[in-house]
Amino acid sequence: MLKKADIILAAIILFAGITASLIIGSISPAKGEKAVIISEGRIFGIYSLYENRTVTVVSNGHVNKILIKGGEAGMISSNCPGKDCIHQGKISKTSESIVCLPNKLIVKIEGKDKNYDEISK
Amino acid sequence: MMKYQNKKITAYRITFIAGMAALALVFSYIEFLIPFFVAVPGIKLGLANLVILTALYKLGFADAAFINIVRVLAAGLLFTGMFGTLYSLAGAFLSIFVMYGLMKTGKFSVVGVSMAGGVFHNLGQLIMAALIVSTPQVFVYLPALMISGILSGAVIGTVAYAIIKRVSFPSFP
Repeated sequence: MLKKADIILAAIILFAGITASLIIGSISPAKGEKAVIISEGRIFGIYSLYENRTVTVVSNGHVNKILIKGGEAGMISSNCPGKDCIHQGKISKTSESIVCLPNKLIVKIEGKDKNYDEISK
Repeated sequence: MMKYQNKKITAYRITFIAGMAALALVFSYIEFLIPFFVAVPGIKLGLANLVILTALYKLGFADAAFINIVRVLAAGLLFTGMFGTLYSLAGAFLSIFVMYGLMKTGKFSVVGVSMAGGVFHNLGQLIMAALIVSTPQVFVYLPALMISGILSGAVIGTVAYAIIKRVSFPSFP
């Protein structure tokens, strides 16, 4: 009952899907606009990536410093034990994020548009 | 007597189609109750497509399309909400036209038609989602949805093949 044309069709669909995803992967994620800092699950602040500043987040004895400069955001100092967040480097594209688990701090980049995850279910 | 696609609209035909739509709705409900895959939103088995495929082969395009639209509207408004309904509607439209086209060529078996139906249902949903939230990034789901569409389409197509072969349907006058 399975015909040769069926298998060819499946192959074409797979090929088209992979090609499309490669093309989409090369054009996105888009350049971000804002850095969103989330501390202990709450939004601490939203800052434009194009206004240079250093943000210091202090909560429950955790101290983190985030440098926002020239369209990029990066963790420059943290009193957490591993310093993984500092080693994650600078981020600039939407969907990128820096996570400091011990200090319960997340820095993520957002674009102009709302994040699509908010309404698609 | 009214006629549509050279077929009379009889009480029997209306009742039969309504029964098929109800069956499709039940399948949608089962899928709503038991999510088969949960990793990526939109991935599902597509049980309702079993009814649509059978209707397409046994009753024709118009009846299958009607059953599908009734099913999507009812299931969407009952279970998934307005956005979900819009996504499903786009998927349903795209998939029924693609399935009908492929069926008409006569080159593909039920399994192939079903696979294409599954994939294009997902594609239609994604296009609608991208339009509504104006974010092309939703297409990162495309490869996962395509592969799942092929797999689930093949499973549903195999079952539909058995049904279409064995079960006799009324041919409406």
